[in-house]
Amino acid sequence: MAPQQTYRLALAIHGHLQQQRSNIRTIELPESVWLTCQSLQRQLRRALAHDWQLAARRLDRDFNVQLRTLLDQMRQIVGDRMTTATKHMPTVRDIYQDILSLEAEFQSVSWSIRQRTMSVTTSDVILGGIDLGRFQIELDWRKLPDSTAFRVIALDPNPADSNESVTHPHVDSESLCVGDARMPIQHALEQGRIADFFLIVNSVLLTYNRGSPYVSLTDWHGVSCSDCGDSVNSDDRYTCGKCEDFLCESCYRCCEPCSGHFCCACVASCDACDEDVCQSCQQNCKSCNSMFCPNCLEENLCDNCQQEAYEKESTAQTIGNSSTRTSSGGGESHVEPEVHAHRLEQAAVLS
Amino acid sequence: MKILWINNDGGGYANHIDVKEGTTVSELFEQKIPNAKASDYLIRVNRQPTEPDYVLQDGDRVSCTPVKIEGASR
Repeated sequence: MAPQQTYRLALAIHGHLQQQRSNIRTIELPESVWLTCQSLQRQLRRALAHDWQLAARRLDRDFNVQLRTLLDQMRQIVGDRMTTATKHMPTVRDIYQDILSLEAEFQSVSWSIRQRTMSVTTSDVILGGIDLGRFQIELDWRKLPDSTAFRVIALDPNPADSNESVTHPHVDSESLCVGDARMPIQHALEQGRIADFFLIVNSVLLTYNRGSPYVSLTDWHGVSCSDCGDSVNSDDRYTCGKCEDFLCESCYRCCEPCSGHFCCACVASCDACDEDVCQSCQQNCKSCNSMFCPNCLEENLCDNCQQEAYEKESTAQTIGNSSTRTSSGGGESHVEPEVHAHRLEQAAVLS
Repeated sequence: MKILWINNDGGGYANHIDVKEGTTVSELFEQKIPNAKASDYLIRVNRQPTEPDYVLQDGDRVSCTPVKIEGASR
């Protein structure tokens, strides 16, 4: 940037900061706290006049609390106004030197007097082995000293697969969530330390906070389905309820009894109905020991074994009945005839 | 002698402070940010990189910016 252009830029930014400083601002007085104090004082006087000792002590405590709140709020207001009045105001030379120093710190520095913006371009930002490309930090000095007066533009976008507006773990829709840098950025902009502002923002871009990203780096390009190996976004993936592997929509199995999602290794097919059953819902027939879902077992027996058991029982019963009739001899029988005496064409069928 | 000390770590304050004649940049850093590694910071004197043994002069502007600052998602 030519010195004259740099000087013009410094002059423009300085002019804006000066204008901001000269704006007289009104404040909000703590009126509601004051009214509460007045009310408590009236109540306290009444309680003392009537010798209501208990009420008076309580009101006295409440009154003290409100007085301290009032004092704290007034101190804050006075402090803010005094700080505003005495804040360091950079000179045009300060801003000029800041701009010059940025040309050594960043790949490039650009600006637009018309749009009131100044930008720097970072080097490639590589976090966790993922190349996120270069970023342009664009400061809109019309909004100074507002700490949201900037945006972060991805010049070589490599956004998260699950959300293309997230171009950096801490940048969504060109807005940087500054985290720990909030106060340093605020003070740098309030004091017109333009170079410090850009360096601080750059430091945030170079740091990965795994505790609080919009999209984590491990999920940046999605995860692989454990069954088919395809990449699946965090919004579309399922997790096996047993082994916690990730699955795509096509590969997850649903356990019919519990409706849980599982991978193919954590389910088995019911021997009767062929539905998928997870290990928790699987039950074994106590007779044949084959695996079934709970719906296909009755009294811990599968249909086949139940049928067999019924048939055995019936056989045993019939044999038992037959033995009883035989053992009674040729004489008069005490067993009810199986054929009615008048139905001559019928004969008893003995099994 | 007085210098302008700008600490962009934590609160990000800028203050004029008194330092003894002959204090170097590294000595000032150790005083102001004890138990920290200089390599974790961008240390600039009058907006320029400098050697650790640079002896501070009256009116110098010394800034210290962490190389890593954690952002967030909210």
